[in-house]
Amino acid sequence: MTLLELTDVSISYSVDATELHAVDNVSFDAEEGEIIGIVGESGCGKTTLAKSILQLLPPNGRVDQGEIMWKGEDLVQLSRKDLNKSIRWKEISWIAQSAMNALDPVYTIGAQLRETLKIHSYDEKPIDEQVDYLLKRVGIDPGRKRNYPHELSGGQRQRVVIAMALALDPPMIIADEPTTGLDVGIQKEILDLITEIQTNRGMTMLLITHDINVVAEIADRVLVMYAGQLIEQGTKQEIFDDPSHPYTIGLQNAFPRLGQRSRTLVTIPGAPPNLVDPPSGCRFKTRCPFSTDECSIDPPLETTSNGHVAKCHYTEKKDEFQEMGQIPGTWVDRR
Amino acid sequence: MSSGPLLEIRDLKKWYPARTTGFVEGLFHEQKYLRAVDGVSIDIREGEILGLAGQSGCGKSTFGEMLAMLTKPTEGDIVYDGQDVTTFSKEEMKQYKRKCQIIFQDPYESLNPRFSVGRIVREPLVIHGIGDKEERDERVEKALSDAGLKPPESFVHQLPSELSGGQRQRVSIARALVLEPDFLIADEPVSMLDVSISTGILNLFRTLQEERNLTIVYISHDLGTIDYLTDRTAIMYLGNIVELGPTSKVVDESAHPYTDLLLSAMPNPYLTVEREDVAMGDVPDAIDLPSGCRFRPDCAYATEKCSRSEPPLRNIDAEQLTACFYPINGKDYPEE
Repeated sequence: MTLLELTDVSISYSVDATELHAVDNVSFDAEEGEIIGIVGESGCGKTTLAKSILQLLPPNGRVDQGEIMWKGEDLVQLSRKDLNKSIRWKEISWIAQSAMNALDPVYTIGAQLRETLKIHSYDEKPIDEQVDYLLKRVGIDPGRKRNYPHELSGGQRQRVVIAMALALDPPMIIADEPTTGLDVGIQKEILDLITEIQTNRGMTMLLITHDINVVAEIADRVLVMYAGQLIEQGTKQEIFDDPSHPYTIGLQNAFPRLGQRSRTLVTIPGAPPNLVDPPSGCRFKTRCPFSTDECSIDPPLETTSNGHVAKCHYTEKKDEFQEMGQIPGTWVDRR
Repeated sequence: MSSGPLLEIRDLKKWYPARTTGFVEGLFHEQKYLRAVDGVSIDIREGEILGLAGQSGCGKSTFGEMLAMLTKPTEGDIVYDGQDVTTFSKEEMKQYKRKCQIIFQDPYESLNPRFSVGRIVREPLVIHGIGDKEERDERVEKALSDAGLKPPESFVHQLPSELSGGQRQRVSIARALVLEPDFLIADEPVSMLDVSISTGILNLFRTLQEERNLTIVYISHDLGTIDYLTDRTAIMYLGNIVELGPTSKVVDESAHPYTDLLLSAMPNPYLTVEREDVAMGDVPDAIDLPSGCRFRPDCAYATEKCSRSEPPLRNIDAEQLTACFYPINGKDYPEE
């Protein structure tokens, strides 16, 4: 069953009397029980897109067009009050990037969990019992509920944030860079915890990260964003074994892989375009070694195989691109 | 490429006094120390790129800061060119700091936002009183272009805020190169950069090693970039080096159980074999250390022997060293 359905969503920010077009015409679905990874580099619009689902955009940001349908209801049109009452935490909860900032430093973690449960008039079980259960669920000794956030380690704080996200047992969780800034060991722990919870509860997850390795670790389906647009979408295997967009191919060859140290990594020349005045046509064309005159026409999202799509005019040449993309000399600055 | 040692580090320690919880406790208990770096000995070879890996709090950054003499060691020697750096006079130290440069993680915070790129890179020359105006201009342009900021004249008048993250990190590198140092300490230089950018920085380090015979100490928690870039790797755990050797050996035939654990925690999309599920969490704090081997409480192979004495870092073959009584991958640890 499709839980979440985004259609042609565009989002912009007003910055100093100009409009920054952070997200441009993005559509995707989230099926019940799947983990979707959204990857892309800083400024590609991935966090903006995720925030728009729960109306978490800052005051200068707005959804210009498109629908964000949750079980048949358009979240864009919903008032903030109704969203708070019926969607946030109950239906969709949010795991923020920085656990230290997501927790209030002057309340104990127990009090913060209790508050979440109370506000949403949770009354199935006594609240204290439920707090203990949630902490146990994420691997924290319930006795620690009297601790303040600063008394916990970074990994433990992130676990508390996950416990809060689970508090009302929502069908969907959005996690924005849940492991960025955490140590490798703790990162592994948190990813294992997320996978375990997802499997046990059949939860739908939207995982936003710049780290392609993290996505590879736990996602079922991957969306790749570049300069505000969705440029490739497919299963994890399709994206990693058969990337079709030159940007995805470039990224794949820019990542060091353990044990393959003789491979020279490629550098994608240039930088992503300025989104105040985005270029016409393909937004990757100035950095793409395979671009032609045709690329000044905006490419459609072409299907390369069932469900695997890429926003490129030349998806039929992907095998050739994949081969050439491994050679660092291919990626020379053409400007 | 590599020859004799450029730096000999002997039993280097940095202990920080640990805060006790209260006044009374402070009176009746002996002062405890956080042993950030606790007796590290290593030769850094001329012209090599040495990787230093480990989890947060293992002491790798403190070690790097001591090499650059930004942090004063509690004990131990850093021998450079036959002389102990830790006993240098102010003037000798200034000369040493010319030879040894450090690059930090955050290119957004390590550059003065009000200075132009040209001024940032020129400043070390001014501090060290090198050259006249013309020579300084020349050296600044050369450093910028060696750091991959080409053409240099288009960058000298720009402010850091006008540059991308990758370009800023290149400015930090140019600032380090302008003094023509013997060695460079790079502390997580790419961990804040996007992938498509960070590779360029790593490849630049390689070029600098090849063209200038620059010695580089590359500090990172990311074994992927360490594996790609470095000649040798040292794995640190709780202030000690637990394994040291050619990077290919440390990664492919790791001898210390901790190295193995660290490698298995790395997410890896291209891994073909199924990984064992490992539990790995925070590194324990470096104040109340366990007896014997520090890794013992978390080690799957620990025996009674491991709690009795601390295994020293010893050769298991000509190139590879480990501090474990029971090295894995069929290696033999020499008995005392």
